[in-house]
Amino acid sequence: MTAEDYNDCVKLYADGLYRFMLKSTRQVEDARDLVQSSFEKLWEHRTEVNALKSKSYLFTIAYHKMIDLNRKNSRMEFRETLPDKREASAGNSPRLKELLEKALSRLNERQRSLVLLKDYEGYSYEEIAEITGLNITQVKVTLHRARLILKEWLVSVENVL
Amino acid sequence: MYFKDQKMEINRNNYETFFLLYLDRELNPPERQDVEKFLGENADLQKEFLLLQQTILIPAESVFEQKELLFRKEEKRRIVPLYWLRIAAAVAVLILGSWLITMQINKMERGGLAKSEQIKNAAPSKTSPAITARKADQGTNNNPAVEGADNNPADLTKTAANKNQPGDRKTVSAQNKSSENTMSANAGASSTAVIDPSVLAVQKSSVLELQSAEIPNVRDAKKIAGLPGMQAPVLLLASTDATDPLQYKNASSKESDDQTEDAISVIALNEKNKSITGFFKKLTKRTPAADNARKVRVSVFQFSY
Repeated sequence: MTAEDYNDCVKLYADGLYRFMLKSTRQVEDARDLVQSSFEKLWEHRTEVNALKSKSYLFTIAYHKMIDLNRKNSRMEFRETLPDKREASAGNSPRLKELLEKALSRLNERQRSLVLLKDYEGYSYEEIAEITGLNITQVKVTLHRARLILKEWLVSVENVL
Repeated sequence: MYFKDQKMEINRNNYETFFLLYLDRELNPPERQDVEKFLGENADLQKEFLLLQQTILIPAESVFEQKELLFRKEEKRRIVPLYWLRIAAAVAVLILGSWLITMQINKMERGGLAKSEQIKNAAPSKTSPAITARKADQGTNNNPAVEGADNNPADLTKTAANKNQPGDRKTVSAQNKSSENTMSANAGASSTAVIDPSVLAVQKSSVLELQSAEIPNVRDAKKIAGLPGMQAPVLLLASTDATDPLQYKNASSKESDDQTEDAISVIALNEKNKSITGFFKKLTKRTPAADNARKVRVSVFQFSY
């Protein structure tokens, strides 16, 4: 990819990658650092990267960097301190979104990442498998377990409310 | 799509997997239709389906505010212009060249005067091969060197010996004709110098002076220096690879066979005009593939002092 392709990647994917890192780490500074280091690596290897696969390359780098960072910091416990500044969107109540954001804390690191890659970025199982290094069956099983955890949590919260 | 290699149908035991695959958009259109049909037939499972649908996260808006930190430009290699180095090199070449020319002129002046003194005291005997060739062209053409030179029009000395008739104009024209032939025979234009007729005239006059003068006994043509008391242009040096007429002839023969290279150099000192005129001609060997191909390098220069 050329420098122009790289800068197009910044325009197209920087926000999505930041969101993925922010939701994964729940730490603004960590998310920024991971985004910058991921783009830095993409720039260094731009001549080897196909422009059409640059997004997958970026998310793959970011995902593994995030895993490494979490392992390094032993920060496996999900924090719920991130202020949510999202606007409400049609079709889902702000209440449900808030609940789902909190529900993410119920998921382990892998489950959370896979749900984010699937729901936020719209990757297929196959693409998620390439990014995370898992096989498709692992992706499917992990995602389905995560959905069931989220569903159970939503049911339990609704029952309490 | 996920079950493309597996023929599975949705039922009440596996519906949860199909619901999740449906929500994750991993089913192809026929499979999706099967799920929708199953939901229509099993209304009690629609609540289950809606609960799972609520687990799908709605993409949130997140903006990375510092994109300027991410944008990059190709770093072009900066080329530092070294104009000063070029200027310094040019000045150095000019200074060196000027110094060399000055030294050469001074050396030639001193050498010419000293040798003219030697020649003045020496007893006249034989002439140099080149001068012999020139003398022969005025007369009977008895010199074997001259006879052997007929086949090489590129050799200016031999050409002059062969074709020149007594008289200045013809000598000059013969030399020019020889030069023209030389240049036409030479395929590489870069190796051929344009001969200034005025320079040739100076050279011709020096030759005539030598012909009319009593030549001292100097076998080696390279030892010929300016003639004593000459106000007219003086032949300082006339040389070939051969040192006598016979050898000169052999050299010519060898040249015809393209086995060797012969060079003729003539330098004339004109004290009246305060100038030095030189003439170099060099034959290079002919390639075996092309018999008519031969290279002759002719260089003419003139210094004024």
